[in-house]
Formats: sequence, C-alpha cells, structure tokens
Amino acid sequence: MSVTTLFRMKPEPKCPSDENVCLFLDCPDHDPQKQAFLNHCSVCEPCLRRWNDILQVVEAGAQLPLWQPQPGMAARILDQAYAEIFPTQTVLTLPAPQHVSFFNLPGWRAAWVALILVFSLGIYLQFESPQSAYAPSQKIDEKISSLEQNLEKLQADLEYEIAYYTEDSI
Amino acid sequence: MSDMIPEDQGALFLLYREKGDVSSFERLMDYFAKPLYSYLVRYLRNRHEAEDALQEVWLKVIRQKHTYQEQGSFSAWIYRIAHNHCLDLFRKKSCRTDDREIVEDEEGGAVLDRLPGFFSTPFETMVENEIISQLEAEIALLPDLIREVYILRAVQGVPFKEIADIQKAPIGTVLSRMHQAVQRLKPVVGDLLDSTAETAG
Repeated sequence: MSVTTLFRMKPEPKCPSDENVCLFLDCPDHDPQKQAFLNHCSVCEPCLRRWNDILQVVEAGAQLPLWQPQPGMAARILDQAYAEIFPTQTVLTLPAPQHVSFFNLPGWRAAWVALILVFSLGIYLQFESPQSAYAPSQKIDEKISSLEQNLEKLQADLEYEIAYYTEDSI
Repeated sequence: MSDMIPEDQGALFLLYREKGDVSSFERLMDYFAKPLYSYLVRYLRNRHEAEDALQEVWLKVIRQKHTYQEQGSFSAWIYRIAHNHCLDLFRKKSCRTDDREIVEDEEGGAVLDRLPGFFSTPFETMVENEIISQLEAEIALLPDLIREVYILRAVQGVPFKEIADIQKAPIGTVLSRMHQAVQRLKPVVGDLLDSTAETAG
C-alpha cells in the first residue's frame, strides 16, 4: 500500500550569503526576492539575526549627523565657477611712467635731442630773422612820418596863432 | 538628500555646463554641501583636510565638467571625484588602502593616533551624545575602503551599485566590504543599544 502525501511542503530556500543579505538593503520591500528572504527569516533564526544586525548597524549610521562646511568656502568655489564661465581677459599692466628730464636721459638720447633742438632753432631763425629785421625799420618809418605830420600840424597851428595875435596888436 | 531627484541633479549640472547657468551650480553646491563634507570628514578623519578636499573636489568638478556623461548619475560622478581625491591624499600620506592590507589591518587602536583634529574639542562639541561619539570613533577605526562603503551606504544612503561605480570595484567586493563593516561595528552598536536600554530601564 502506497502512502500519498496530501500537502507537499515548499522547499525552504537556501540561506543567502552574507553579501546577498546586504544587497537586500537596496531592494524595495515589494521585491519578490526580498519577500522570499523575509519569509525565510521567519523560520530561520540565524538569517533573522544576520538581517537584524545589518539593519541595526545601518540604521545607527543613518542617525549620524551631517556637518555644514564653512560658509566662506561656497563663495570661493562660486567665484571659481564664475571665472570658468566668464574668463576675464588679462590686462597688460604697464609700468608707472617715470619723470623724464633731459638730465636723466641716456647720453646718446640726449645727443639726439640736442641735435634736433639745434636744427629746429636754425630753421626757425632762418625764416623768422628777415621779418624781425624788417619790422623795426618799418615801425621807425611809420613813427617818423607820424611825427612829421604832427610837426606840420603844430607849425600850422603856430602860424595861425601868430597871425591872430599880430592882427590883434595892429 | 530627498528634495531633489537624481535626474534633477544631472539636469542642473548640464544647465551650468551647457548654458553657463551658475545659479544651477549654486543649487547643486547647496544640496551636496552637507553630505559631501560629512563624507570627506569621515573618510579622511580630519576636519581641516576635509575642508581643503571639499574645495578641491568642487574645483575638479568645474575643471572636469566635460567628463560628466548625461546618462550617468551625478551623485555617483561627484562622489567618484571625491573618492579619487581622497585616494590621492592617502597615497601621499602613504596610507594603506589595498584589500590585502585592509585584511591585515587589525590593530585599529593605532589608527586613532593619526587623527589630528578629529577628536579635538570643536569637533566634540558637535557630537551631542555619547552613542554617536562612540560610533564615530569605531567608524574611524575601520580600514579606508570598508569605512567608505559604510559611510556611503549607511550614512549617505548611496545604493551599492553606485558605490561600485564610485570605487570602480565589482558589486560583490562592495558587498563584502559592507559585510566586514557590519561585522566590525555590530558589537559596538549592540553594546550601545544594550546600554541605552539599561539606561532607559
């Protein structure tokens, strides 16, 4: 006589490795593999203990505080970000102009300056001297002629007055 | 980290990169200021170094903006830049980071000696209760890459897939590191919970 089983027990899944148990942390609760593992934990105490250990250690880490960096740091980094987006053109900075006088020029430069000055003066005198020589004589002539006119006028006045007084005396 | 979906982060960064919209960049900076700084403080275990690193990371984000791919997660990209920067700092300080040495790095007590500024008075004033302070101390004792996985997953809530992208490691390696972190922190957290329960009782 053969005995037939009414209920066939579903074989228990093998206990997953420690690494795979860790991987269940990333699985959503409705994941079939995670569901199967959690069901397995209800009958397998070592696996339940492993799972609880992992959960405790991970949850303890999640309670740790997060720290805020110094506020000035963000500004420095943002400055750099702006500089990358809007790179500024490098400005050629010239040295500050120095006071230049004839005495602090190098010798050859002073010689050139002196030569140019001499030439300029010569050219100026070349064109200016005839005019300047002519001008005084012309002014003197004009002065003499005006003086002569004045003299003639005075003579005329004098003659008129002499004639007037002589008529009165007569 | 819940008021902005990942697509928004990428879109904001693209606005900055393509249109020169610095206000978008500013919003991203505001959003990531606390998580990124906290990650750097815990990973580097030094507040002053973390401040310098934070500035360097953002400057790298600006300079390397063309390396961001639109399909990728922006948070993974920025954490990856931060991760690489920290690795550079560790290399400069000749800190041990590879897996073989992490396994051998069991003498956690010595690590505390090279934490200038971490448990200084200003920092401790930020820690409000003893439980948090003890847990912080235990996290600081974890080896570098294991500590980073724990900080990213447990504190920052970054999924394992993104952590694998950040560390450029297979996801199995990342899960193994997380498992190691759990194993090392489990007694501390258990003790702390027990003591809290006793205090409450």
